[in-house]
Amino acid sequence: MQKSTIFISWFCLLICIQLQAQTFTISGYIDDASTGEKLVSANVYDFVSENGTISNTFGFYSFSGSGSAELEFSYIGYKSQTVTITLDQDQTINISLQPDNVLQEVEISAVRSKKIQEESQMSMVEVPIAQIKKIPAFLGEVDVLKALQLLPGVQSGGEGQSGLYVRGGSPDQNLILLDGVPVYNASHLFGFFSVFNADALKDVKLIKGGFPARYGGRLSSVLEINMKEGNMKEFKGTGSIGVVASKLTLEGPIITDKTSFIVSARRTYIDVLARPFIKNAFEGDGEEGSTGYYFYDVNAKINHKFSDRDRLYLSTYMGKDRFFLNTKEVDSEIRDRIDNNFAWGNITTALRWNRLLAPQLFMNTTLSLSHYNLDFGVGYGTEYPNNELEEISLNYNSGIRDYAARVDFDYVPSPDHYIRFGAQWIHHKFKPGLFTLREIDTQDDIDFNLELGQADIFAQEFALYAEDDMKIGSQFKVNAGLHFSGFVVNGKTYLSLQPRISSRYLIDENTSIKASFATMQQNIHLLAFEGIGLPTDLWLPTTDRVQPQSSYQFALGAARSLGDEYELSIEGYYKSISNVISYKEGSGLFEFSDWEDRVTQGDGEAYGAEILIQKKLGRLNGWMGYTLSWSNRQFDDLNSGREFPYRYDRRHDLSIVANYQWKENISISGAWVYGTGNAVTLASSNYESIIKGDTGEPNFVFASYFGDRNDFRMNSYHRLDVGINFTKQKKRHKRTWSFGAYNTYNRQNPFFIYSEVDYVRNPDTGSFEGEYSLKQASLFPIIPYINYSFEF
Amino acid sequence: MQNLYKIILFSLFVVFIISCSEDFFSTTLEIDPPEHTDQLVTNAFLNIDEGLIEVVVSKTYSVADVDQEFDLVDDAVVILKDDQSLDQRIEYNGEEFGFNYTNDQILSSSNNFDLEVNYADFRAKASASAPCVVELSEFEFIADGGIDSDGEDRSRIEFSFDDPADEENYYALTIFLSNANNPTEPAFPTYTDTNDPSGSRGFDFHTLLISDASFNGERKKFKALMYRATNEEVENRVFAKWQMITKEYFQYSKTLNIASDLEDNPFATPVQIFTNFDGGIGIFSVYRERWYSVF
Repeated sequence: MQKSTIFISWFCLLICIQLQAQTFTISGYIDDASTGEKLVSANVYDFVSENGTISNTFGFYSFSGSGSAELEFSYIGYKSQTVTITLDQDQTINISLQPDNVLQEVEISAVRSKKIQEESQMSMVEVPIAQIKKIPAFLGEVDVLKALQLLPGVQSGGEGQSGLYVRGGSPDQNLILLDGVPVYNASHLFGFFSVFNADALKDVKLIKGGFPARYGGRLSSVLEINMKEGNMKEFKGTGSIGVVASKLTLEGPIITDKTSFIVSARRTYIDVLARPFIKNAFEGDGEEGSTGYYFYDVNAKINHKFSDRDRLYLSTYMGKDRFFLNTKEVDSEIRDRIDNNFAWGNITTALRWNRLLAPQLFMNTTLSLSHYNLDFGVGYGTEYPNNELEEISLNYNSGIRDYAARVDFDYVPSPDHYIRFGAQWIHHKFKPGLFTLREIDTQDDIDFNLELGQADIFAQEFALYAEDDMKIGSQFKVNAGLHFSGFVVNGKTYLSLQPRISSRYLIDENTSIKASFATMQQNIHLLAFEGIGLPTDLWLPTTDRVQPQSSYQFALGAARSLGDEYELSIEGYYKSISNVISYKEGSGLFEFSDWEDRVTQGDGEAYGAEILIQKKLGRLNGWMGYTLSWSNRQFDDLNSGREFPYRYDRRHDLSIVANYQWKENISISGAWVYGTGNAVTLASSNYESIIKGDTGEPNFVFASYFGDRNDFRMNSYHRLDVGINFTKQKKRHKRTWSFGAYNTYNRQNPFFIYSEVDYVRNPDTGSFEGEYSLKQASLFPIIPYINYSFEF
Repeated sequence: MQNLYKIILFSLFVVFIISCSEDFFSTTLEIDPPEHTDQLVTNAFLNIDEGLIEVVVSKTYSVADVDQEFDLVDDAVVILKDDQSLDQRIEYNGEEFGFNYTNDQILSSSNNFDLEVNYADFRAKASASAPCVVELSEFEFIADGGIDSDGEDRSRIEFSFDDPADEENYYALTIFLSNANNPTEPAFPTYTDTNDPSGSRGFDFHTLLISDASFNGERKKFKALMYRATNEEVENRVFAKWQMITKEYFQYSKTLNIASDLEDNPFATPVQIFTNFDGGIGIFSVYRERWYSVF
């Protein structure tokens, strides 16, 4: 009996080995034939076995099978390519897809691109950069984050703001990855522009729920942005001159088909244009000085292909905002001087090495740096004729710096399994805010230097993950995984095991239902004022007193392709959040006390439903998204412990975005948005509060009664943006003139609310009487724009 | 198609012309304020050791009534009860600018009190429990007492007390000086501060509020700062008013301080002043008070 069992076992094993031996792998990269840019999430489908796979972030694909295969490689906007092959050995096939010229053919023929109903991933949206560039933009400045705000489940914080509020979460709960590196402050100009220069970007993917295990560290969303790699074939350039900023992008091969680069830079120039006027204004007052504001950002990337197995990428982003006001008296002997500086910015750098360890096994190793810094300085000085000097200055500095190492593996043993696993380690350095007060008086020989604030905090964060995108039968697909993370700070360790699962069941060829569950943990916090996104918001770690944020979210939905052009998805979700952080009532940034004493932690929940109808192909394309949602918070220390609506609780949110290719060289676009007004706290009553004085007498103190927190709704928000683009192929370059307007029908949308009392004389009594009014301030009326861009 | 092109250009032209109108770029809009509903406001302070209760009853008024004066209520029914036999009506005393309901004959051996205020259709009620007695000892005055959070040189007063275990306790401290011609009677409060994280400034710059959250059940040595003075200047003239207060009063006082500080800050998150009244707003506080000669 035992011998027969052993024999059968050996027999089965041999069969398995034989079967395995008959399975071969085709792998390689899929790129754009004209530029060499790798195509992310391109579709690979075998008509024989009816199995398929997709390319990863680096354009790599791996497909295993036996016998013969008829592989179709397709990507939206590109002509598909079919390769018939006999699977008798492992092979490398690199595919270059030709772009389908939309302008010439006007109507794109349907290709077998990746369909929404086939993916196990739910709550994910990819918006092509080309489509983002066509959406009318505020002041003509194309903005990736503002385009994403037009999607269901994603909200803006307020007029003109680029912060993302995803499914009731706050902006700090978004993991924004630029080439795999977290970006901590994603906005320029107090949130009116994002730091991402669309000319330098290749693709954008937003995940709102059902997070795969490879992502971690944030609660609400993952925004993965990849920079272009640079044209491998020929030298190219693009640029634009706009109302706010100009930008220039250059890319090309250093060694054709082996090494390429891309450099993209953008800068505002209001400060430069206004300089002569400002100089004159100061001179009129007997002073010399300057004031202004600018931001700039630079993206650069170089990549080198050592072989079909090894590639290296080095990418960097650096951006800075600076406001300055400096004056100096020049007409007097004793010269007073004022220097004000307010600067903040990010630097991210990533070195990534791709290695194909085996036809089914792809490895990416990343070493990265992410740095965000804020400096605020005020200085007053007096220079005397005898070279004596008096000076007093106050500087504030805060920031965060990460050094990280990460390794990711993609293992594709068969068309039914796509396994990802990897590990990450991050060394965090937090600067919670340091004030430096300096006083110099050379006459009295004073040189006083005082530092107030908290010491830097160092923390280590690590993560391990594994996930498998499994196909079970022909209809069922599951992505299941585990994310294990740890955070070590001040001798305390927080460990977290986060299960993730996302699944789809194909009802028919065009329809699927999907469900997902994900738990997340976030070990860093953004201490922010509710309101506009200020660069003064502080990134802070979990400590022994401040607990990590955590959440769980489950979602249920359906996806359906309507013909070849339309996609429909409907999702409902519920998210529970624990240990969100907020300032205690009345606490603020510029305080010397320990930040941990100024914050309180509470819970939140968000739930709702989203509908998205997308039309990706054809002369008319765009989408319509609607969100019905609720988002609440509860803190023991706020609102007397009662639950209250989150400031960005928005019951209804509707966006309609359309691009119409009217003629070969003219496109028209429009976007209309509607949202329920933000929830704010306003006083409804006044009264006299009383506190017993030092000697027992009552002190009457004017007080306001606010009711429940965020109990008042601002007016609803809506606006229409329109734009038109005229493109012309010139002899040496292609140029585009873009005209448009933001807030076309000049809606006075609410930005903030304030009260005012005007005292007017009563003609009967002669006395002054107060007239109270509550006013809503708007920020932007209709704002037209004009933009000139070129490509060569 | 040619027509569409013309329509777009015409639309842009119209927008341009409209935008030249005078109020086109107006960015403010008057909106309706939140609806106001009258509420009863009661502020009541019961010194349980002295049997003294002092109450002010008033009403809220609309934010739009900017010329509204203090809306005192003179015909409310104010009743103090304990969990034993006390059921005492507190009478209106005619006071127009102070406590308008007082009684200094409260006799109760209980620690738990309810205050009910009935007026017209309003029914407000609050409960409070008397804090434990905590005595101070081991006073010390140090003339060169260090610097405060503003970087100023201060003198220091130190004292100790045993914080009761297994309960949250809150205290208020005020340092008084006497007049030189009558050194035995505390006359006026002094600036008081502390670097101890368990203490924070009260409504004015004279009172410190202290929470035992960081030393619950322990013997606490507390250091308070006062204005810089030499031993000779203040010898035999420094007194401490020590109040044992309820958690509710502590919260009320803290939120009142913050709300007052933020009154003129349009960007601050509004702060709701703590209330322990159901059916109204305000504070019902029970406290104990001790005086000590410090130095």
